[in-house]
Amino acid sequence: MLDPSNKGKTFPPFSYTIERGKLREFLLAVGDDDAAYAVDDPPLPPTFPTVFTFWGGMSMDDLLREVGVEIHNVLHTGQEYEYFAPLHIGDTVTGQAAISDIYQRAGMDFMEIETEYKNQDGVLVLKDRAMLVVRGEE
Amino acid sequence: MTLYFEDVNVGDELPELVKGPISETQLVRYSGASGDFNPIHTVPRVAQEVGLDGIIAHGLLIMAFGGQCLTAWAGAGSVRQFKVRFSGMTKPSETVVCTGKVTKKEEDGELALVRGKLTVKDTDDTLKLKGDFTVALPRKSG
Repeated sequence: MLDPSNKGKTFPPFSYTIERGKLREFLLAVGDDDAAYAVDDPPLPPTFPTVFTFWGGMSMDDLLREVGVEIHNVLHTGQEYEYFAPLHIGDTVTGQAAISDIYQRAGMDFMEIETEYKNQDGVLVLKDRAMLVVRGEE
Repeated sequence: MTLYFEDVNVGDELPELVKGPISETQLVRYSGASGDFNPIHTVPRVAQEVGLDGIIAHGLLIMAFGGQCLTAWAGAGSVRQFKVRFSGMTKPSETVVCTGKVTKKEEDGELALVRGKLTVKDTDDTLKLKGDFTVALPRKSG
């Protein structure tokens, strides 16, 4: 069982600079050819911040291990992105992850990890919430 | 064509977006693009070792399809909030269908917001994810 006192625990910040080539690679992978992205100052697709997490160097493995959980016992059951200000190519975002919720239900552990992203001017641009279920060790 | 706040009504359905069939190559591409290199999405041997009968698509790729359904309708850059709950695994060769519906319109200061629900199902009607969204739309009055 997860220790509820881990709620509120924060992790080291990480940064990612938004690249035009990565945007193109992401759109090709998803299969989205909307011409609105092929402009000088394009918007970003709604789930593009997935890239910030994985390429920004946030290690979910390390984060989970700090609270005594192995990643192979974790199911990603939900995801949310909430935008507060526009993002642009060339912006550097800095993410700060925290355990925003931990609770037990039906003998299973539920955990929510919220990552707040600020841009290079310190403006809050995005909140990323990952909902996880932790399976018991067999 | 720009979608305006005035053009949207509660109960409107979003244009359906069909994605697929999903290929193994697409999962390799999405792994590289997103940086999610969990091998259960690309390496059949590892998928089998964890009890799956083959590789499965990234849940976040299916969510990205949902995101594309939103932006194809409301415009790229319009999404303010998008939340999903994953329901089922998706395998290569499957085709999925994204649908959505407007549930609420509200004006919050300068913002004209439209809220709704979205689902992604396969062609056998099995749910892959469901979620809710908020988009900000321009007003005709400016």
